[in-house]
Amino acid sequence: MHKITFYPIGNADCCKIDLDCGKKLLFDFAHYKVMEDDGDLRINLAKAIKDDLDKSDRDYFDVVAFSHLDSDHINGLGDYFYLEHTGKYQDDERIKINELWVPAAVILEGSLSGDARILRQEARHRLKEGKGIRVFSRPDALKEWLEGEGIKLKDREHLITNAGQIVPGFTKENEGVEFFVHSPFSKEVDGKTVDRNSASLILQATFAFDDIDTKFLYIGDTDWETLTEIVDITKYYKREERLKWDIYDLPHHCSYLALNSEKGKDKTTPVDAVKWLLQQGGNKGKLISCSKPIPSNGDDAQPPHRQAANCYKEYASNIKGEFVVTMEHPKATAPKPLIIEIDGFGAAIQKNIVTGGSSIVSKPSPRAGGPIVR
Amino acid sequence: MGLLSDKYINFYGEIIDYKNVTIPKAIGLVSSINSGIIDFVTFVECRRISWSGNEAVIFDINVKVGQETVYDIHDVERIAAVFDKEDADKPTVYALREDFPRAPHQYVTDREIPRCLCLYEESYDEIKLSWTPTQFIKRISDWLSLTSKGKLHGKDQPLEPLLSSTGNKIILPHGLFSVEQEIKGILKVESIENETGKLILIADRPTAYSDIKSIHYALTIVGKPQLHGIIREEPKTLKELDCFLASAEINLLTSLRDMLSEIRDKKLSTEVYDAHVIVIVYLPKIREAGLPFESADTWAFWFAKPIKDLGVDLGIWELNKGIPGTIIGGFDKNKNGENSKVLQLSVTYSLSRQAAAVLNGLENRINDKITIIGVGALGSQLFMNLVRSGSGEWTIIDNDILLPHNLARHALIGNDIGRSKAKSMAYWANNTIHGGNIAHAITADILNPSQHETEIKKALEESDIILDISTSIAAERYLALDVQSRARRISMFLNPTGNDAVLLVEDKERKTTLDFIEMQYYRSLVHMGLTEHLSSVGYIRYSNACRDTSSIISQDNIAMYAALLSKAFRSVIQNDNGSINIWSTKDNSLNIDHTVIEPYEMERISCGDWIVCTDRYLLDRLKELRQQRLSNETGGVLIGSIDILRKIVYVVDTIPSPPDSKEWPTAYIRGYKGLQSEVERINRITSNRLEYVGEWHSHPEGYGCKASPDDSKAFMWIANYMAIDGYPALMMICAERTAFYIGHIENCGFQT
Repeated sequence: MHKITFYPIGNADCCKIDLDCGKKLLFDFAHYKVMEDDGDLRINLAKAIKDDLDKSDRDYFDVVAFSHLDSDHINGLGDYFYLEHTGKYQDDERIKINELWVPAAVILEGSLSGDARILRQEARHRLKEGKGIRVFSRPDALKEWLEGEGIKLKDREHLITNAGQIVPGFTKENEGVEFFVHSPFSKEVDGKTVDRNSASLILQATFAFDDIDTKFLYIGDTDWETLTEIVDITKYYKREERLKWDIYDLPHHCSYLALNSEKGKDKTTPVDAVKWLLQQGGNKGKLISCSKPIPSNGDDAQPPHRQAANCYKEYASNIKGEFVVTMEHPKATAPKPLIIEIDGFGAAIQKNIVTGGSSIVSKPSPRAGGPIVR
Repeated sequence: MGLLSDKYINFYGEIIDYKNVTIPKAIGLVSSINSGIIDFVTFVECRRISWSGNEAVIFDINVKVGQETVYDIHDVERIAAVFDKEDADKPTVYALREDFPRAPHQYVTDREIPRCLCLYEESYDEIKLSWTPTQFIKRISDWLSLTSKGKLHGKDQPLEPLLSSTGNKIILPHGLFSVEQEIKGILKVESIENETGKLILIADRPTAYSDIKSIHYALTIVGKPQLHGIIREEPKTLKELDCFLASAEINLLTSLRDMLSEIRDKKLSTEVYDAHVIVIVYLPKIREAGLPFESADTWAFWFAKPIKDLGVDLGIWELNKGIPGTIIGGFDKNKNGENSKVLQLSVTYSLSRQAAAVLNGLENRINDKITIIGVGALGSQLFMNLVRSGSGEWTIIDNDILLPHNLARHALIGNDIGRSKAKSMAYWANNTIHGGNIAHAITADILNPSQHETEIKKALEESDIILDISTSIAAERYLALDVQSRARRISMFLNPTGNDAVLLVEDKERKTTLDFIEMQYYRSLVHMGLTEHLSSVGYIRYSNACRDTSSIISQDNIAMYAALLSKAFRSVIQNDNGSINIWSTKDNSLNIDHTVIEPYEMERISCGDWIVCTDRYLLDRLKELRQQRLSNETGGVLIGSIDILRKIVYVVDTIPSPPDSKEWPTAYIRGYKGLQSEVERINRITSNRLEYVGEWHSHPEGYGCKASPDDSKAFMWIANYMAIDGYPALMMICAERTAFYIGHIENCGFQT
């Protein structure tokens, strides 16, 4: 079976894919946990991911994809990943990346600092080396940048995938999955200012198991305008099946802006294109909100927005599906990674009843046996 | 929270505050749910059932369910767990959703809904040992999740029975009621007294009418396939039974009315009306809707009322002075057997060959015709092991009778003292495996069969395998060489101490016969230096026997080796190769060592009226020794055995040229340093089965292997010595090929 794991990291994204064939892919990474703060319920992401790799006896991911350069998708990458562009990030404790996936904007953006800059440098290094990277979309600016580095576009063309294409290296027959690229579009990057969200990586993964296809839409931080554009283009090319989903990683931590400019009083009404997109969910499909718990009332400017959640709940209910929030799973007081199993029965959310004995042996015991100090 | 469209039934009993729950397990469950330590469960309410005092805990459980489902389980299901006031029975678990599907592993109660889940296979006494609220919830969660995939019932797990067993049983002769046909008829039924309080009936075909002590009329009915796993409650009356069988599209009332009318119309003796009816139903089951028939339940129902009263309950007759009359208009539709009690009986079949094989884990039963010679301690136990696995169609040959001292280590029991072992073994075998006789006995000595000669000859001729457990070398040789049969010969025996066991197996084509495999076994003992193997304990045997007939051996060892050898027997006959197997254990040790030796193919060379039997091992060994000494001649003595009766010399080994021998290019004088002690060592290890049988020497290259005048003289020298024992002289001359001279110098054979 294939597995998708969403980690409880607040309003941030990180999703791990374990393919039945053994390959592991990571989509975004944002380590925020404040260890000293007992009230911080977010998972220690770096440790969770390291532990998982240790369990599989490996130190690398086959693919690590970053949808865009916003902090809630890349935070801490400089601390935890093994990066090839400089020796500074190369100790054995770090997570290795066989293939790095980034939208072209990551290469092209200027005036960056922190993890965004580190990722850009790594992506540029790999693209210059011509290996271990895949770039999404091919704007003219990318060609110019390559020429500036003395590299011909045609020598790097095999490392570039455009919207409307299938990502090479993954097939339903061999790896049990294929990735269809919806975004970014080149034209948006060609403008003077680069809008990171609308240039982020959006993919539809189709998992195959026992002749059953299960579709997963990975949508970064995308607003309703971009979604509308994707819907229009996809319909134009008559590829509606590429927007079907069984698992919908809903955009921007349950922000109403991914549905409409108007928040609505209790429920956001999606614009027509987004409404259509939400209706593409398969029977008992899962809508995942990578976010903090949904507030029961109030109107915080920051997501998640309860009005947006109510909208998603309605669409989940229409398909007898589930709407699940990462920081509420299994309960808001003790969130745990949300694991979706994909097999011949489609997608199913793991809901393990943990019995005492099995859980205690999966964590260290507290300190005991010290001398009594009088 | 469940789907808005989900509707739950209102569970019975009055709602009580969760703090007022009194049954300990219910309290435990409620507090575990409310404490929040169990994920994915939400408390709903508690209820108390006034008439029983039982308490129900109702909660919602959120479970892993895929998008596709075999049974439509929802993400959230509402569950009621009813706890028994006295904790005498396992908690009953209901799914409260109105349209919760019917699926395997549910109980059918008197109501259709709520559906009642069957969570446990174990008895409550077992479950109690480890019951915790969390594990209980987990069990429910797993039940729901696996049922959604149709995987609760493992693909390799047998289908569930349609009814739960009451403990009452009827044993039917296997194959009595075949699937295809309905048989109505008389059964001989015997009730077995036991102390369990349960009814145990044994049914068999009557051999004669006078056999029948209690008459039972049997009616068998075959139903239509139905989904397994929905376990129903025991029908207690004819009417309930009729309802139960309706799901298999069986109209029981009609069938019974037909049968009873027929009995009346036949005008049998009036005794028939005092007989009881047993209805035997064959109910095919399927795993999932749409899948083909997989297995069947057979259930029997014993009718408490005799036929005359049953007819009244079915409305087909009235009794007139105890004699059935007729009813105008066929039958009274209002009488449907409400007043006729039935007793549900689990059906068990007598043990058939095939069933015995299956129960022993054998995919294919061994149906070879086997003649076993010797059912002593080892033979009797090994034989029963094989019979219990349904293996073989047997002829037993043994002329011994059972005596009290045999009981220490024999499969037979005291009842059989003074009887023929062969006949008694056949009796027990035929009473163990039901059906045509699996064993046939001939009480005779295989070597002196007298009036049984023809019978034995026929049995051996028709055998696929002749199994010698006679402990007699003479019998083994006879079976190997003098019996006309294509059967493969296998011999097994214990050593004198009973610490070791030996299994000698011919190859299927019989290229190497048992007698020569025996010789190779002795050679192996010498090569392995097994000095203890054939030595006997404490006293010297005049008999020289190296297979034990009767001595001090523990039953533990006999049983252990009977088990090991019956398993080995089944294994070796699966392939065509010959083999020599030796198992050995030290006194008081619980380890057994196993050595397998692949026999060399036998070479038989005729020399006049004698036959020399040897193999590649020896011929290659001689070649090698010659090669080492070229251009000189070399030689040595030959080790083997002589069968005077059949004029066979077995030659299996050599003691190479002693160190004081003289070796020249054209002559050889064998020395004797250390020779006698080596021959004695071989005698000792093999209990004199291998001994000195002759001499060999080599000829240099280009001289051929024909005997020279010197060789003829040497041959005469050997002949003079061998004549003392009445043995023939044997000389082998080894050149590019090997010549054998035996008895008289003109009796020669060549091997190429």
